[in-house]
This record gives sequence, C-alpha cells and structure tokens, in this order.
Amino acid sequence: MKDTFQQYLTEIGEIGFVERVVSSLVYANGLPGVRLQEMVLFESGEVGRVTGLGESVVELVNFSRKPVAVGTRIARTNHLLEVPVGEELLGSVINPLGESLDPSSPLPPTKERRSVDAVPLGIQARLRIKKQCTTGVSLVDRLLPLGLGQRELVLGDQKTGKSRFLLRALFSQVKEGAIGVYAVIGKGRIAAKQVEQAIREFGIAKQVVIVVASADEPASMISLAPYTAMTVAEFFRDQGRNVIVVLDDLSLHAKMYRELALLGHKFPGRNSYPGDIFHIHARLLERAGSFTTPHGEAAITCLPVIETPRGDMTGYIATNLMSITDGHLFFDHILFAEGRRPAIDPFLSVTRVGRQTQTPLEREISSELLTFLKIAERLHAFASFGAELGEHIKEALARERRIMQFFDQTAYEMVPINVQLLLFGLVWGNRWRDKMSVELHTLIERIIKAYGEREDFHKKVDGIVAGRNSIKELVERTSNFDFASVE
Amino acid sequence: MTKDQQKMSNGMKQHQKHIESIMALIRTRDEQEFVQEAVSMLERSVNQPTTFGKIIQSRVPEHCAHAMNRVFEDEALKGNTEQLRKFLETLKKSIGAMRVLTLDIAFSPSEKDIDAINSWVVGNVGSDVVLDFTHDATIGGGAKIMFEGRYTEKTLRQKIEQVFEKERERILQTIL
Repeated sequence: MKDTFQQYLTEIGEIGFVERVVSSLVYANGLPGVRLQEMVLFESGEVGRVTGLGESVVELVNFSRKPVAVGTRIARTNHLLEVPVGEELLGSVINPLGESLDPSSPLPPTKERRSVDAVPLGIQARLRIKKQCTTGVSLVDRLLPLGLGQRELVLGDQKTGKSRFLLRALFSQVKEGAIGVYAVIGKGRIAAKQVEQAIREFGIAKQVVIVVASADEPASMISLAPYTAMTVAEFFRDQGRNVIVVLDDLSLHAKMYRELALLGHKFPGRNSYPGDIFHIHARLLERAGSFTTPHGEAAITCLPVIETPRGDMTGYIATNLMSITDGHLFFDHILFAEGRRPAIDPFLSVTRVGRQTQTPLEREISSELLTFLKIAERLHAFASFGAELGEHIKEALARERRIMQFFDQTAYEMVPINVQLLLFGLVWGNRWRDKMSVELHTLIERIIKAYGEREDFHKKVDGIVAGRNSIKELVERTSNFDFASVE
Repeated sequence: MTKDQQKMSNGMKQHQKHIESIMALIRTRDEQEFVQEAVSMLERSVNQPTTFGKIIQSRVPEHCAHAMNRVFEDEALKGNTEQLRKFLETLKKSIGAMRVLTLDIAFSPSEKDIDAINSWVVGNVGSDVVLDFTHDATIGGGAKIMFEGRYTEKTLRQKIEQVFEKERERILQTIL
C-alpha cells in the first residue's frame, strides 16, 4: 500500500494533510484538484472517499476501523471508489471494499474494477417487467407475485421470518439460474454468519456473493455496503445473468448515513435524517430493474429490508422506501405469534408490477383467493360473536383453514410453481375436505418431494397444470388426481 | 480625507510593514510556533509594555528578537494600549496564516542551509511562507516538495529508480 500511495502521489502531484478527525470523518487541507466521491489513500494504508469540498478543507470518510492520525499525508487516486468485480467473487464473503473476509482464502485478482456509485441506467436500457420472479413461497407467488427486475420492500418486526423468506427467495432464484447477492448491512456478526451458514446449507453458495458490513464496522463501511452489493449485481447483469439482490437492512443503513451526516454538521431534517436520505435510497434502488444488455435481457430484482418497530409501518424510512419500491411485503408479528408461516399479511402487502407477469390462470387464482380470504376474515369477526353459524359459513371457514395450510411453509423451503397450482386445484376443489391437518401436511410434503425426485410424477403434475386457462379447468383436471401416485 | 483619517491610514500601513518584516524573518515551522507563543504572551502583558523586552528575549529566536524589539519601539505603538492590542492581534493572525512549504530531505539542515532555502523562498514564493523540514534518509538526496496541496519529488531515489526501470535489461546484462 505504501508503494501505491507513493505512486499516486508522484503521478497526480497532489497531497493533503489530515487536520481533524471526527469518528469516521476526516478533515484535510490540500488536495486542490480533488473531486467529490473520489477515492483517496492515506499514508498509513487506509482508504477514504471524498464526501465534501470546502474552501480550504476537504471532508473525507475513512473506511478503516483504525483512526488516522492528524498530520497523516493523503494522496489522490483520480478515480472514484471502486471494488473488484468478476466471476471470482462467486462463493465468497466480502467486505464493502471488495476484500475477502476469510483470511485463509483471499480473492484472486479480478480483471475488472467498478465504481460503487454508478449512475442508474437510462430509460432506453430498461425493459417492461414481464417474467415472474418465483420465490418458492406459495403465499407470495400466488397472492403477491414478484417480477424479475421488481424492487419489493420487505418490512416487519424483528423475528417475524423475514430472513427465512429472503433466503427462500434467493434459493429459488439461484435454482432457476440467477446469481444471488446478499448484503448484510449493520447486523451482528452472528446474523451474518447465520446467513452464510444458511446459504451453504441450501447448497447455493457457489452462485452467491455475500457482502458483509457487520455492526462493529465503522459507519462509513456500513453505509457503503448496499452500493457494493449493487455494483456486484450490475456486473453479473452486464454478463446477461439475472440477479437477485437482498439488502438486509436499509433502516440500519439510513441510521449510519444519519450518523455520518450529523457528525459532518449537515442540517438535520425529519427524525434527524439529512435532507438527501430519500435521494440516496432512490438512487440506489433505481439501479435495479429489467434491462437490455449486450448479452440479452437481464434483470436485477431487489429486495430491500426494513425493520418496523412493533409493526409500525408508517416510519419515515419505511414510507420513503414504500414510495420508491414497486410494492412491499409486510411481515406481521401478530400473525407470526398465531403460527402463520410466512407471517405475511396479504391485505397490507402490495405488488405493483408482479401481476403483469402472471398467466390468466394465475391472475384469476390470485384474485379469487384474495377475495375469498377477505370474506373469510369478515366471517371470523362475525363468528367471534358466538352466533350460531350456518353450514355455508362453517364450510367457508373450513376451506380457509385448508388454504392456510396450503400456504403454510413451516416444514418445506420451496414449492415449485406447478406444484403450487396443483395444490391450489386440490384445495379449491375440496379434494382435502376429509383430511386432518397433520395428514395434509404430510401429503403436501410428499407431493413436493415426489415432484423434485420422480420424473414420472413431475411430468404428470406438469401435464395437469399445462394449458389450463381458468380455475374451473384446473379444478376439473385435479378432481381425479390419485393421491396413491404420491406414495 | 481628513488629517485624522490620513494619520490612521499611515499608521496602518506602518503596522503592515512591521508585520511583514517580522514574518520575513520567520523561516521554519518551529520558529513560527515560538513567535506565535511569544505574541500570545505579549497580548496578555499588553498593560505592562516594559516586560516586552524580556518576553521577546526569552521566547523568540535570536534573529527575530532584534527586529521585534525594534517594532515595539515605534512611537505609534508606545503608550497606545488599544493600538498595541490591535497590532498584536493582527500579527498573531498573520503569523498563523503563513503558508507551509514542506520539504522531505535526507539530512538535518544547518542554519546556513535553512537561510539559503528561506531566502530563495522569500524571493520567489513570498514572505508569508514557512519551511517545514522532515527527515527521510531513504530518498538519498534531493527533496520531496509539498506546497498548497501540490506535490513534486526531486529525489535521488526517484532518479535511480527511473534509470533502473528504463535500462533494466542493459544493467542486468552488465551485472550478469
């Protein structure tokens, strides 16, 4: 690093000296030609970035945990902050500067480096979202479908199953050939390790890049993490690959950005966040979408996460992100406590572009299910008064229970789309009327297993679902489904 | 312009001259610190101007002390506490705002070297510049020069590296 520092100094012919240090912020004199966002090197080996330019002082952020000393020399690099990108990153766990976090396996040198703060592609490079992004989670795929290139906010309390859902979506997409990028932003080291562990257990580690900025990293490093994740995603997108990016979570990112802004004496706005907090999140998420690339169509599907304290989804950052993204999935802590898995509230969740990716049959299913569940919810309120219930109400409530069992994914990770449709046909056609809850779970599990393992059963299910254009047709086809064939 | 205004303007010009003459004598960063500290002490003793001589003698480098003593003998400053306070304040600010020219050199400069470099700097760059020497034996000879955010390296080490880079093959052939 010392040699590099000297090289930059000689090459560019500009030098700065650290005048003042406030946490991650460094104020320096000199560097007369420096630009905003330019990467700088400190003599002691640390990397920094220019965040503000004054008349005689330059404001920098230092990405190192080690504070720089007053008087330390600074060299310009004449390029923006860049991270290494390439196929070599697959399977690795990196920090926001693109360095491997595993000292025993440092990253091999990559051919390319990219600026972390790229300008989002313009309208000409963008395509209409027309393919479904399957998550393997029946409730989402049936009721709140996502499209490839969609930005869907995932919000909810702590411990409501958000991470599980995100990992399932990642798993499902990687199984379909996409590249996964998971950014752990400002979480504890244990949480980061758990994500890494889960990805390894799913067996998809070789197709995933994990960017980790744990809670003990400086604010500058944490606030850089989502940009690095997006830069890595953009590299794979430009290779013609679909990418799914999880930003877990942006509320912590916003807090770190606020910390830096307040330390830098930027004027505080609502909840003390700086005035540009909306802009920085919008600019970041605008980098996702469906694009045309030299290698064909490719999409960056982005799932930013927000933590809502006690289910309050009206917080400043949460509402900002709701307005930036193309919908949101709300994980309700009450539903979680009731045992619903996933604990997504379908009535408070929104998908703005996902439905346009569905077939007419899927759209009909989604619409029918939502209407039915809404009615069932009203019936619950009615039933709770203890009034004597008519047969049709009892039947509706029983059907709702079976639908909820169909949506329940406590035991299995991923339900393929055609299996989801088959199961829906069975539920909607009342084929499970006489089945007990435990029996049903076992049966669903067997169907999923058989679909994945037995080619004949796989073909059979695909045959049942293929070419169906309405619920009526689907129910008819599933009416003579032989449960013995699953055995 | 009235006579009073004329007198005041002449006085300010005279003060500026005094300040510049003191600044021209400050050669290095260390001297700058000593003089600044001494001026702070003078500010605190502004009501006892008789102690000025002692403070200057004990705190300021010898070559600056003489010039400073002469400045405080000025009739315009003598006996006028308010003027004296203003003068000291301006002097302190001006010394603090002096530009720093940093030189990384391979040896410890003698007084003679400092004088020679300073006189060149005063003549070519300005009288408001102080030198900051740092010692770096690895450069071999010459200097790394840093001024107002600009950096240039004129060192023996760099020259040798350039020669080795350019003529690597020929040097290797000669050695082997």
